[in-house]
Amino acid sequence: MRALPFAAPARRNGEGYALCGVAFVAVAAVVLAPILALIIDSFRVALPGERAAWGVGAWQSALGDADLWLAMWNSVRLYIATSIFSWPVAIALAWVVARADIPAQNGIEFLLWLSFFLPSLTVVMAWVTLIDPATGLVNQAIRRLPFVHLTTGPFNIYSFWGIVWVHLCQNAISIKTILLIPAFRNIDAYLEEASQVSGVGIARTLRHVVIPLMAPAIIVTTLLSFVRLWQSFEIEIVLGIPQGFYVFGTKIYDLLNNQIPDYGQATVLAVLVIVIAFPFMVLQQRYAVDRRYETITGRARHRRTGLGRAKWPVFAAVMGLALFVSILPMAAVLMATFMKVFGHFELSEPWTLDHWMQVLGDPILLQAVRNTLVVAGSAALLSVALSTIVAYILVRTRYRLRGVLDVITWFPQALPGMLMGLGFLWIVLLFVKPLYGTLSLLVIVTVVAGMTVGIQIVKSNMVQLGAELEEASRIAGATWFPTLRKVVLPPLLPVLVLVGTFTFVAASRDVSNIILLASGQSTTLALLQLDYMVAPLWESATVVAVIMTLITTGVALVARACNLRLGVR
Amino acid sequence: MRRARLRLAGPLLAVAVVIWAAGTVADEPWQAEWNKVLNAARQEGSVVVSGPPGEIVQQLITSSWAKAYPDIGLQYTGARGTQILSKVVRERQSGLYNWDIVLASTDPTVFMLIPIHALAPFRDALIDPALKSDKTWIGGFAAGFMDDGQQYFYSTMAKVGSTMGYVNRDCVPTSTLSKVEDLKKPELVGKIAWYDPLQPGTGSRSTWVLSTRMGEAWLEDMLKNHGITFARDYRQLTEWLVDCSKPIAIGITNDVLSEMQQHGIGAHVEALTGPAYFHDLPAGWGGANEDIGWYEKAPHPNAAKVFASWYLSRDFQQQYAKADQNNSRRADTISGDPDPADALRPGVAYECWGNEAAVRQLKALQQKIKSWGVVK
Repeated sequence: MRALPFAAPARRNGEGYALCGVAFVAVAAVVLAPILALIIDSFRVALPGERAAWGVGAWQSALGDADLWLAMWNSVRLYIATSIFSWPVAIALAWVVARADIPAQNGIEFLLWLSFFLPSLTVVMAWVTLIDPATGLVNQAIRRLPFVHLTTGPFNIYSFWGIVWVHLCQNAISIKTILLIPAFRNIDAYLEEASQVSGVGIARTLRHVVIPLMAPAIIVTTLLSFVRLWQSFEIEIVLGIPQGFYVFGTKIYDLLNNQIPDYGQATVLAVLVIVIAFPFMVLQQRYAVDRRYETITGRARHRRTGLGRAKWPVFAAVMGLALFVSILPMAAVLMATFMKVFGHFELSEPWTLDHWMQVLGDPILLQAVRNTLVVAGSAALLSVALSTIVAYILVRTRYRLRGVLDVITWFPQALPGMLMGLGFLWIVLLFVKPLYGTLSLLVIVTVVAGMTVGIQIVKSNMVQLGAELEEASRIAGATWFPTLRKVVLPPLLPVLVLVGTFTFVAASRDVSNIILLASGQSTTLALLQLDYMVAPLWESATVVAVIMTLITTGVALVARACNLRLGVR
Repeated sequence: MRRARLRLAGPLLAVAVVIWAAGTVADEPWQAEWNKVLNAARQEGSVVVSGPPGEIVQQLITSSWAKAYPDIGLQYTGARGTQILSKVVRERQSGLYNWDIVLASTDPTVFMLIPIHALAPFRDALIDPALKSDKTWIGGFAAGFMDDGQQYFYSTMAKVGSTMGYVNRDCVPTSTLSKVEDLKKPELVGKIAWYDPLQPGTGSRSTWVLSTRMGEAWLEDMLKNHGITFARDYRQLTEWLVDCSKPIAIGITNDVLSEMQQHGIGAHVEALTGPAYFHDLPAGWGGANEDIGWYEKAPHPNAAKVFASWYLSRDFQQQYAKADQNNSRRADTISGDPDPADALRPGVAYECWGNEAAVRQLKALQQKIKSWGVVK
């Protein structure tokens, strides 16, 4: 499909430019101020409290680390290997859920969300229980087969491909699918029908019509996962270190979790990520915004594609995959909360309610639930509003600084959470001390941390929206705000709900962004879970994770009950 | 008559002495000061403490304090020292003084707070002279200081000796492993897991103690050439240990293991400790993450003094030792350690493996291990 020159209406009235200016200043301030504080501090060589002295020691140490480049290469090849498998599956899955006539699409989408809710460490440990080369249950079962003569394996989770496998099962497929589904839903059925009427099959229609129309969403999701890959460490620490496999994320994690954290060197590595990703940030803007991908027009029609005889096999495959990435780990997580020692079925009485009793009897629990609901709920609402406004500026206006604004919104994704928290700590202590330790500060930080996903996903869906609807609204005399509210937002509602739910989940699970900013009074469930992990009461920590999952699922279902046409249904 | 007077004089004298003695005690300068501080602490209303994150310790400190001083609130934040101190340093740079007491380990506390003059001299927090008396503490009062200058950061708890790690006797018999040199036997290649010695914690300390006894060349060869598997997750290492996939685990804590053993898992796992593994190792001890310091410009200075005195008191030290299965350095407490051999004994000259000087040596060893390229 040939991309047409961008022809959206420009906003030239004063009111519109004022809004753009305010949004630009606000976003630039909350994103750039903490980053600048971190960069300045990375040149500081004097101890806190001493007279300021400056140097490039942190930069030399970070970039001079001989292992750094190998760790970066490991991250890249992990990303490539994961992407090769996850992208085709995610695109096919998203198309089937959004466009094909299979049953239980909402249920399948819900299962994918469920896999996103689950605590990663528990899921990793569950996979270790299944495919540890010596003691994994699956490996043991295979070795009992009469024609198998192995002493270990055949599968080895402590390998490169073991790490790839866990990434695929955990988030790599489900997140991409979740983020692509709304964009697939927006595609005008006329385009698919035209292709099929011309005698083109479903697979070629998907390749030549649907995927090109999906380019903005695919480009944005690719870049999101590319920028995020540099921070991935949870799976790699458990499965990579025993085999001597280190990635960039473990480097940053180590610098931030040393007894004396080296924030200077960690900042250098974060800046390095921004520098590496910068050309892609600029390119995505050129390809995802400055071209035309309109699929929602005044004549748009949404109809599901009939799969014919393939319907039930496809349904079985898709449902099987969704169950595999959600119910299997969910079962493991639930089991962990009811077992005396997770994975040890050989005990005469392996089951217990003690972990639940301990957590439910914790006097901090209720306060943590309340704080989580306040922080995650507020962050979700603010994130939806911010994403809508900024995406509108990026896609629908000719505001001169919109390109700069677009690039700035990518920075929070590149910054490790703990550094983001530290940057905010400095700024708040310097300029707005009363905010320190309050829930409001946690809300602001979680909104900024989730800004990239929210804005970019709304943006990639907004470019599919035809300009003619807005033009008609304006011709009818409506100003920009009623046009935004009554014309632009309704077709985007599913994606806005997706952004809200996504932010709610991320905010409720967030530890790294808020750990330096929370006080005893602002403890959230995620911080309570961390307390149990450090204790170390691993099974009790998993109980907290299940409570978080239940709350998140409950919020999503309540939203659905309110007839909001949720992304999670 | 005279005899009768003399008969009365004895009891009268005794009563007079008692009255005089009582008056003397009541008038001890420290007690008057203590009463003044206690009243001021009540006026301040609360004390703000950061300390270890564990559920048991947190419960113990908050509930015991509430019983001892119900009219002085305790705001306790449990977290890793690194996280709390990163906040504290930035707060103090900005002129915010939110904390009264820090309970943490030598590293990072001494290295982060003393250079910025954040800690106040600890002796100033103790009003009762008995708390500073050498008789009260095994090895003397000053031996508890973790900082080089013996002024700011104090350890009250101590475990003697060191555990190098654990072995599962279900799959490694004593004939295969009974002394430290056996670790290099060819049949044990690929069977040893080691907690990443570059990470803070028990693992790095065990590795350092081992290097002081066996030499760095021995350690380098061990780590490089004997099929060691490194990991950073205590649970993962313990699982390998109990299921015999890596039946020797060096540098792990017994937190996960003791929980498993309560349920009968890993029943034949033994600690690698004693002369066979540490040769002529002189008795040594190390504190952990419950060492105490108080802040300069503490927002509740009097409540901080009351907390410090209470923390070092016999009653609380005894409770702590019991709950944490540890030993107080106070001479008048009973060991809470399941292994009585881990308790300090009066009259023995101990090395301290947890103070500032020892931590510096440990960090130097970690730099060397990094240069060997076995862990990154």
